[in-house]
Amino acid sequence: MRAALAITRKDLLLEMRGREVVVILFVFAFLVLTLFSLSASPGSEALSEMAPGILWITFLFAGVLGLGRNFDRERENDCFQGLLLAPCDPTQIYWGKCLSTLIFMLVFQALLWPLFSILYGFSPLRGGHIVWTAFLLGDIGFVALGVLLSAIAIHIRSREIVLPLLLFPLCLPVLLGGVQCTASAMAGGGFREVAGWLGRLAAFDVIFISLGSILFPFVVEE
Amino acid sequence: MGIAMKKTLDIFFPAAALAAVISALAAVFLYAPVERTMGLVQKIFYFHLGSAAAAFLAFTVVLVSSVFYLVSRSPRWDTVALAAAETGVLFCTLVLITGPLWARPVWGKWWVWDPRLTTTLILWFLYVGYMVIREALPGPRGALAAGVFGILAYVDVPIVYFSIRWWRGIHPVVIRGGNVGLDAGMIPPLIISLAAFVLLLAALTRERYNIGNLELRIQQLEVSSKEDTP
Repeated sequence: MRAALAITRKDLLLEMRGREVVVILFVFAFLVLTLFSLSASPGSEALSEMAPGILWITFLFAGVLGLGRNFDRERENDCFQGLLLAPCDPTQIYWGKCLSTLIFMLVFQALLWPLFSILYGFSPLRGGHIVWTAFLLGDIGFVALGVLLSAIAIHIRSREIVLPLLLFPLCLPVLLGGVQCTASAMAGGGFREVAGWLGRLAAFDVIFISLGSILFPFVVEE
Repeated sequence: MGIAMKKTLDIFFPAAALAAVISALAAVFLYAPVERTMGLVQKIFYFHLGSAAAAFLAFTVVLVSSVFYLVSRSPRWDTVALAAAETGVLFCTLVLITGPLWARPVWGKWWVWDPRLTTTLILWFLYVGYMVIREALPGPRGALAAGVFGILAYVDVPIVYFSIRWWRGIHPVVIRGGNVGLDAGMIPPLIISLAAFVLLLAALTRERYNIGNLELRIQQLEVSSKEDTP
């Protein structure tokens, strides 16, 4: 576990020094949200109905870019080879990368959420902790699949296109769960209404993390 | 396996598939009764279900051979997985084409976002992604990545199916697929066409597997000829 935390620490330190991932993700996602709100006809109710779906699709787009950036850093100067040579179980690398990507996602979402609430016209406090539980559980599933597939895509030349192609269909359940919880929380639903979906999201997370931990060593094998 | 045996099988599989497809066509168009409300268009059903069964079987073969490949590292299993994935995508495409052709006159819509339809579409995307990995990453690295993805995709499909069902559970379900009672006369043609599609799958996959083995052989020869030249 110590090796995993060291990798997370390294990624966070790089991010603090360079601010390459979170800030760009945030600006990009802001732009996507703006484009979505302009794509609906003015004054239409469709937008507020679509808002949770738009938010989660924005997370997916930004998330896949963030994953790409996080792994591009490892490509530079063959850092990934160096990581793999470290005397630790490859699963540790997987967990470390998952944790750092998860933290990036959560920070980015914390920045985006107030803007989203302003653009789509509701209080940022609406939904409260349910929304954040949904974000956390959704992110874990997304990251568990995303890190595994990024390790595959790292060797592919057109990886910017291939990664979303592989990742989006696989993480559809996470998207559906996330949208469902967010929509219900924003409509003022209590914990009881979303408990089913939160449970399912947690179950997806367990499945995807276990699969990732088992399969990751095969992906990075030389 | 002896060469004589292999030669026999090379002829047996395509011949059996051809015979089965012809008998399925005959059974569906000459023997099976015409459905009362849907009419002739119902006959698509025999090919739709056959393709679906073949695609599902092919993807199961991908899963099993991916696991065997990751455990044994024998290139043969990898070739089997590749062959089955390609034929699986072919039959999955047929499912997605025959489905709307039937749905348009019967449901009045080419497509509805019903769990079964949506899952089939996602299934198709997943295995197209599998083929993209094979294309983009040649050699053992691609084989390992594809093996991992072959397992991941198969495990994901039921999760996708249930999450769409739960998702749709909130809204009224417009059309409940399946549960169409079959006339007794429709059952033999259905069984024959299912058998025909499975045989066709076996013949095509075997053919693709042989091609895959030849490709491996060429690669080995290229490597050894490079080593030989000073």
